[in-house]
Amino acid sequence: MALNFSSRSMLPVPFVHSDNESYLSVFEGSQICVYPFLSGWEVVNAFDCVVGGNQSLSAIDDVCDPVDLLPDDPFGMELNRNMGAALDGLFKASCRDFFGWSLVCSPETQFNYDARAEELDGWPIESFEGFSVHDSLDEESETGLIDGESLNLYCEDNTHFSGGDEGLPHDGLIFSLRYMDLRDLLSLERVCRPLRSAVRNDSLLWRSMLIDSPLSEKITDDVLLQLTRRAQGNLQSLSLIGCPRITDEGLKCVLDNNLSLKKLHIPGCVRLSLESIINILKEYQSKCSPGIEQLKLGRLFSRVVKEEVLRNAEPVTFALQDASSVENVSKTAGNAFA
Amino acid sequence: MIKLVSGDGAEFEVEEEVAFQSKIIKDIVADADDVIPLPTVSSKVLIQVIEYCRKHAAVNSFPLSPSSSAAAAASSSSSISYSKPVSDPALRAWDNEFVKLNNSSLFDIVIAANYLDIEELVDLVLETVADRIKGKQAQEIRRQFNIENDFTPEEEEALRRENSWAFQNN
Repeated sequence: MALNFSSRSMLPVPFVHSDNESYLSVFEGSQICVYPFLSGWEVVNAFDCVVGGNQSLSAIDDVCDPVDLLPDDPFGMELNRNMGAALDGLFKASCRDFFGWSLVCSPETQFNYDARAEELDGWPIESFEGFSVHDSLDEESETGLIDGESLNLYCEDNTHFSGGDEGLPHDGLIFSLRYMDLRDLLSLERVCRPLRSAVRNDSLLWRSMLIDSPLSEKITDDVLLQLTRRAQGNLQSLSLIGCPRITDEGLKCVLDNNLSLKKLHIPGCVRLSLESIINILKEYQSKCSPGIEQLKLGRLFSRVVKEEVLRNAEPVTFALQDASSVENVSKTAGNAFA
Repeated sequence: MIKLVSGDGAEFEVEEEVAFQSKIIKDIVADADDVIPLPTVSSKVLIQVIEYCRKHAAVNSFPLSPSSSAAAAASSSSSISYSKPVSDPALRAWDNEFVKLNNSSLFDIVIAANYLDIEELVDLVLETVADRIKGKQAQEIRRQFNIENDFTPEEEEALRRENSWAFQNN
């Protein structure tokens, strides 16, 4: 089975960002390692300010010099030597404050934060598709729940880039799920809890399903329906390559439960009858738009269809006329019949 | 030249076209600096990433001028970009050699590549990881990737039952 390859980069991390606060705080909230980098930037800036401030202070000191009257280091604190450390501490504190402040103040962040806290299972419903940083210009990402845009990479145990220590799967392994076929996904969900959550709860992995050998001979109506449910209503493409156990009733059930399906490939599914397929599709097209845009039936049907067309053109043409919004269906079907 | 500084303080000077294999660096350079600190990337990993970028920069030709890269960045952030398969067979062979590393090295690279937004490298590594998992049973995957089985026996049994259709031989 092939999984949906999200067309976006796995972890879109827009670096240059219009909204600095949300950018920083998003990363802070998710505890990603980018943090030191960012804080490094902040430290640089803060450093400039503080150093500038010191300079101006010392300039004043030069003019009125009561300080000069004092002993250099009356309490033996070695201030000069410890100044670096003190400044360091100050920056760290101020960075923390900064993050804390932005967490409270940025509405986007708060949304993000709450949403994260509410996810009981620890895994986001949508995906772990990427760290996205909410782009204030991008409405989609503001909802935080759009494909590939949600910033949701974290495991049940809150380890980030954990390096796979302590027996937990490495994040890299979780990223690679999209490159797996169905059989490997089914193996992976039996490995450990974090992987089970990753496989089952990422609907993007299930948006496009390809069932071919060797699973095609084994898959039944019930299993197919269960697997398609993992797409959480977002199933877009379903390819059943030679699945002899799938029945008309099973296909109907799947279509009834997945109204966003656009591509259906069912070559070599010998239990399916043409008449039922036409009826199922007619019903499906009437229920949702755009409905099926691409249909491939495969060779098994071509002979039957030809005979059907020769004997009585009505069923086929009726179905195709009926589906006025789906020109592709007629074209593809026409090719399949030819 | 652009200077990259790894987390452990090592500095690497690379040509723009090499560094710009990373979209993130491209954006930073368009915006600010020529010295780019990468504190989350160790020098060991950065060396490997630069090696990859150098090879691919030599093969791919990239638009380099800051204005066009800014425009490209603007358009790529909104439009959908498809990862394209590496077509050059020599480069493909080189890639295949490049990923002959142990799992933890691969993961380190993919995290860095992710962070630097080098799409092709992410794809390459993740496909390699997926290949290593292909056809393996849960127990083998655990051993290979050093993962602990944290299921209760009941959960394991439930999973086994649920997926038995796919794994039984008949």
